[in-house]
Amino acid sequence: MVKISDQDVMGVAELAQVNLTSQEVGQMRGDLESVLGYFDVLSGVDVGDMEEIGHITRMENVLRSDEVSAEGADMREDLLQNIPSRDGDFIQVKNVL
Amino acid sequence: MIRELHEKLQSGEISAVGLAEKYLGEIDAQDGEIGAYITVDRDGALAHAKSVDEHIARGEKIPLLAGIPGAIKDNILTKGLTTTAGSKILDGYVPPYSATVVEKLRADRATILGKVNLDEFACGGSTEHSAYKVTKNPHDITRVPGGSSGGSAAAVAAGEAVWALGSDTGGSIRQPSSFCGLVGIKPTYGRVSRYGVIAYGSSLDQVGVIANTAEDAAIVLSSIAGQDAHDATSAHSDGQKYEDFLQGDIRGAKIGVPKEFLGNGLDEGVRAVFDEAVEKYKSLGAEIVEISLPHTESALATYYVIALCELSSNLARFDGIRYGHIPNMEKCDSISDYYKNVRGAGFGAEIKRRLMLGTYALSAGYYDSYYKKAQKVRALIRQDFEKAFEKVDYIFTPTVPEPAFKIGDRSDDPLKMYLTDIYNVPVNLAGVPALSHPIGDVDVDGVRLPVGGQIIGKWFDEEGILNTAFTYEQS
Repeated sequence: MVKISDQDVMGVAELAQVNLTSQEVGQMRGDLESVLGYFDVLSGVDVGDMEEIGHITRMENVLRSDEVSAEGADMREDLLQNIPSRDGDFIQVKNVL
Repeated sequence: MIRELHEKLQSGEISAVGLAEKYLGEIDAQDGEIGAYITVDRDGALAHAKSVDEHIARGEKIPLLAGIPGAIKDNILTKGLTTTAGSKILDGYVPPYSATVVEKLRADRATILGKVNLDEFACGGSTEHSAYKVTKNPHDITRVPGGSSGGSAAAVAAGEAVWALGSDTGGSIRQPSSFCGLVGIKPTYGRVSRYGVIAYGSSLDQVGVIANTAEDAAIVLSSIAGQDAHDATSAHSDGQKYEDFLQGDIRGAKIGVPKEFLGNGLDEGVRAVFDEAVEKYKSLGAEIVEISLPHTESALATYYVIALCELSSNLARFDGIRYGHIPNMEKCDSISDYYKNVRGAGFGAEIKRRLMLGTYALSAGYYDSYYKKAQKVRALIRQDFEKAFEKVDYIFTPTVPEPAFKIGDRSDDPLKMYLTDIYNVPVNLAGVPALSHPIGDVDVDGVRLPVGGQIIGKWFDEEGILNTAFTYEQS
């Protein structure tokens, strides 16, 4: 039985960088308890010395040659057009420092 | 359907523009009620169809898919055409590039009618969790079409598209195909490129096809499959055309039925239809073998831990800086305050729930008991399939324990909703290919609702499962 407090919920919301209203916090507490409680099935599974699954179809790493290419120069405006807050060629953000 | 349409186009009996107009007309007539489409690209579709007609008029041979109208699930990027992932946070987002699967369909000159609805970020089993609209099941509009590729399935079932692309992380192609009476295939992990597909669970996601017949699904799959330099998880392919492997003969094939899938929770009506389908496979010359997938009971928890952890990582990019919904940046105190506001306002309730679960499970102190443990159990589940496939060629199960449920029936109970995925998730965990094909229907409150059967194949045996479904269909 997993016990989650409102404090726990707000701590996770901070990590997830998402705002929750006080109503959402209450609802979330119940949902988290219920679903995390279900996840408890896993604690009963004996995995022996099984390794975590690495890659699903067990393939090798894919590499490309170390060459510089100038692809996508024409994509600039397409990329910039989606920016919500823009000043010419600059993206506007809140102070990070 | 695709082959017949192709022959009529090539011979000039019908025109690509006429065909596009026909499907656009169906969208106009029905979609107000069905709600499959988020964006319809009328001008783009007609302009493209016109160019296909011009090529035909010049006497050129056109590819099988040329001029055949279809729809793309809205978590797949289409350059120049709005892509929302069913979320407010991407409202109005116009991608600067197309997904590889879209580029391949364009190379085969298919007509793309528009973008279809989904549960937000492909998270859901009903298409009730889109920020834009609820899609209805064309067989009964008081019921869900399934999800998350509900728009894809509803569009094809309603005759608003000949084919549709969907994506499947935990059943999101197979379950709506079952609910809507269609063929839906999730290929082997790595068979189809994920480049340009908005990620949900990166170790589980695959793009696949929803269509009316096994042959149609095969034709579209042939178009989108193949290794892609842009996707390091994509696998080498010999470029086979899956439609060339439909012999219509499965005599001697060994089909396993896992005993763990036929227990409690399986609707009686669905069980009866499934048992009849097993008999039919026997009559087609297949040998039915009882098998066991011993870790089935842990599969759902394993899936949700892995998927939600990976989702929480994948959603980190939605910070309202390079794209995304922006609620008054000036009013925010700090960059963190801005992120929280953007994400709080832009993500729907189900996404927030999953984001919170995934973040919790990955946080310090919990990573080992949740994600790491789940990845070990996952290795056991894959081993279950490896052992089963030493004895059988295919595995046959009901696709979903029940037929389509009523809209609103379980949107309040997340766990109840998650349990619908029980027959589908082991497939994604193991990475094997699987499809759902219609096997009959059940009567619920006087309405006949479709039931699908799931065929699971060995890694990279898309030919085998498509041929199996094709053979069933033909008889």
